Amino acid sequence: MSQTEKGSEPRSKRGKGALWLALGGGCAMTLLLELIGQGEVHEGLKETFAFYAIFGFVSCAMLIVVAKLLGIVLKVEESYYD
Amino acid sequence: MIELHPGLVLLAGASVFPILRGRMVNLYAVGLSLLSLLIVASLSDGTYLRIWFLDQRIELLHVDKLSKAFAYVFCINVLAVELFAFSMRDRYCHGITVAYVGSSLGAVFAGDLISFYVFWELMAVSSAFLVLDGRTERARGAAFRYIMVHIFGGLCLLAGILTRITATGSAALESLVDPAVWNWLILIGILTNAAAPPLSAWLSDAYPESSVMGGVVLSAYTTKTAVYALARGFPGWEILVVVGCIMTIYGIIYALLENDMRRILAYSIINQVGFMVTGIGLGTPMSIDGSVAHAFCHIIYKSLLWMSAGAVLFRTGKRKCTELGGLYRYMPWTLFLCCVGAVSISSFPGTSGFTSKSLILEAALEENRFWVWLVLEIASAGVFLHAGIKFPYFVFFARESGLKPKDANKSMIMGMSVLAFLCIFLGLYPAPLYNLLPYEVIYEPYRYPHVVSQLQLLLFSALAFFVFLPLLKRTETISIDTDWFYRKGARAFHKALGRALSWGHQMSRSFVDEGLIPFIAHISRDGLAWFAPIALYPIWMILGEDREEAAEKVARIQRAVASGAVPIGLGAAAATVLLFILFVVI
Repeated sequence: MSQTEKGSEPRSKRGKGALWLALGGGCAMTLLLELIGQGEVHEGLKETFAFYAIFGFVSCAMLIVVAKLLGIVLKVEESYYD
Repeated sequence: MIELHPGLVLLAGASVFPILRGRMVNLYAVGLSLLSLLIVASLSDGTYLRIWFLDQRIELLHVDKLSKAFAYVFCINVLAVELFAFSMRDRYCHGITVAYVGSSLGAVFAGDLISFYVFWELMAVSSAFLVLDGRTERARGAAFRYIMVHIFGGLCLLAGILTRITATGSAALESLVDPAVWNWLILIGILTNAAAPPLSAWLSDAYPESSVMGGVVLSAYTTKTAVYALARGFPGWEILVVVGCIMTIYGIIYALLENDMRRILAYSIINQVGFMVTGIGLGTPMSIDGSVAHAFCHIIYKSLLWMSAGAVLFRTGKRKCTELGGLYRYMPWTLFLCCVGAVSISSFPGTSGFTSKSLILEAALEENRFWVWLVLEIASAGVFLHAGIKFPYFVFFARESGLKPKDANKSMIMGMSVLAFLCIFLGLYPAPLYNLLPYEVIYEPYRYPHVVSQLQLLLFSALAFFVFLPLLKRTETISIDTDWFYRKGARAFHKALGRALSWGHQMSRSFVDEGLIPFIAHISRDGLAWFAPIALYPIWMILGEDREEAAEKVARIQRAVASGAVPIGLGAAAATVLLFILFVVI
């Protein structure tokens, strides 16, 4: 099966740097907001600090890896049904 | 006061399109959409337009908070779609669109199962024509498969309705609490339209093959009418919680595998409908409110996303992520409006997805359904992954595709802007939405912990996307889905049937050619030589002839038969004996 892979990287190093900066800054900000709101943020199960941060990251990582593994079996050429 | 039926107005109005030309098509379509919205707004709760049919009371217009919430968003959406497609003069597509929306309104306002079924089927037929509007060979194939699946679903629904009426005598469309076989059949029929696996592949197969406008229209009505029907008939059915949770994850996995931008959005519909189905399965007032609110908001932001994908397709003629990228420079308005849809579907605080989906998750927590809550939270993170980032990133950024299209035209931007405004408005001020819901909502989404936790979930999901970006490289592939069974299966069946018939033909040919015909020929030629001695031998014995003389006569007869010189008397005698035997036997 020949699958044409195309680059998925951001267009330039500058753009890439800005992207990581914005993303890192945003993530850090949410953690900071949780720290500021200590005593308010925690509800039920979500007792641990940064629970949603870890949960979001791990969930997405898991979904990507599962999709990638399933792709080995499920992905076929576009002309498969022709 | 006589209440007008917005669905019937649209269905009747659709018949005028063939005589319209030029801009009149668009003006008429916008006017008709606006009229339907005004009619819905004027409706007060109650049951109208009652008729008797086959000893059953047919209620064409049953208005309550549930039906009205869906009707509002159906009409708002068709108005925005008609604005979006104001530059498109295709009266065929506009006419079918209006008929399709009219049928959906008919199903939503139906107060009985019979009229519900009729509008349901009208919806299937008109939507199949919208798929055909793609006007390609692939669209024809997809429309054929689409209608076949919907015929199956429709037959299940019909069988359920008929057996229910026979068993209970009632055709009322109400909460179907009894887990009887007819209710299960109705449920299968409705879940087919909701695109619940394994009967889900029709959606991602058909919708992306439609035209720019057709795709936008299709994204909103069939699945959401099914959600309405589930909310009306099956609240609290536990099976829906399981089905809904599966749908949320299934949609994400397939959307992550996809390369076609409209197929990504198609799988995203299944994921979002999964949230609604789960909410209905939970069956509490808050979860059902959540499902209705989510259906309302989903129609708006999903139409917006399909519009932005449609604008890209309209300008570039490309659908695959591998052929797109770097369009942010050339289509900034489309990008901006697409991002509003993307953050809304991802439930960012300040958008409509946040104020609607939170209700379902909150309801799961209130019911102590930990595993349901967990799956929905995972799916919430996944939504941002595939629809919130993957779709805009690969279409508008990622790499330079070399394409330099113009931005979407004014009417397209106008249609998208209306929906983008609603995404933000209902996100910041959800009260008008909550007032439309069937039950009273006492819920405040903007609590500090909730906002912070949601932002954390989404931003760290985005982080995961970019960390694992190398695993998400786009490939020029498609993914095998459950349609494999009828696409490959039908071919295998066709082949097997061909072989079986060919074998049968060979067998019958060899039986007739080499067995039956030679046997008949043999009997015709030599039958008399065998039969005459058998018939005459006893007579000769009675007449006193000895065995040698009789044997000599037999030999003589056989020679005469072989040479074709049988004496007339002998033939007549043999025929007489034969007739006598036949007479005795019969």
